[in-house]
Amino acid sequence: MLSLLIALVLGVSWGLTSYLLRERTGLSAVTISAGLTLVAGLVLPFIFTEGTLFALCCTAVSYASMSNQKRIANWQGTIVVSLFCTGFVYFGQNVLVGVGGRLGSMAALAVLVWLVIQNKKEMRKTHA
Amino acid sequence: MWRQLSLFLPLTVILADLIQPIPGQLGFFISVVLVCSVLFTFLKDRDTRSFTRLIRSALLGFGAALATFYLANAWQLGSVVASGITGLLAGLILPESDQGIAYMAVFIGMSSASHFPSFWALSLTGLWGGLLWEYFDQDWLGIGGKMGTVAAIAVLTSLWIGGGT
Repeated sequence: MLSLLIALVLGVSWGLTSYLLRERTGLSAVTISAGLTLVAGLVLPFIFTEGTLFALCCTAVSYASMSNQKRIANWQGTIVVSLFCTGFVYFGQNVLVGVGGRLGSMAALAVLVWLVIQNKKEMRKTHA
Repeated sequence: MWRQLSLFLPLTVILADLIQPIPGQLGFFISVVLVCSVLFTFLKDRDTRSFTRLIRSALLGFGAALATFYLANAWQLGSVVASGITGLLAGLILPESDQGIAYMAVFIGMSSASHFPSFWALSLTGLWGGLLWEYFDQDWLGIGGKMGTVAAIAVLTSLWIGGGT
């Protein structure tokens, strides 16, 4: 349980850092994501015993955070997507192990779920 | 329609893996249909789609996937660190229009050596990934994770066609 909590906190931190870097710097989405991935891979395994899993969660979050402004417009959206993404990677850690693109697919799933929620919200607003 | 559906292939495989893994024969069939579909689209759009761009994308895919896989396995850096290094280099060196293809191929290079015992099998998957990137270029625009999804499609279809798991 504590492990999941740490993963969620780290995931959200990585997501918000990615969001801030995207907002405040002129760096490309690829550079930001790769940089955050590198930091996660180098630092987290040395701090936590489950650091490798946390690094995977943060890496996936950095992929999801590559979404453009139209898809994830604000920091609240970034937090929600980061939570979804971390959850998917945490609970799906034994699925398709060793298949490249697995983390990206889970990131895409998190963004798609967020878009569905947003669409439902918009539809409710329109009907009200 | 088929193109849109095929983007959901990795997510379907992930969900199926939780219940009952997709049989190899079905996977092989899906892969062959996808390969034929990609080739047919490229032939149909040969007047509008630049052949040079296809080759460029395939070669970028080849190079980035191979570089990541080499760093991860030969230098034993692990897939996350290797992908970070290759992705960062791609982000700093390549023009923005090519960064996406290279980063997608980086995900292919994150595959385990148990799935790809040789560098060549992985490199061919990188080539195939570059072509797939061009095939899906107008889909899921601005959705983070699209690159990983395309990479996963490339890896899964390669494994199914090659008879791997």
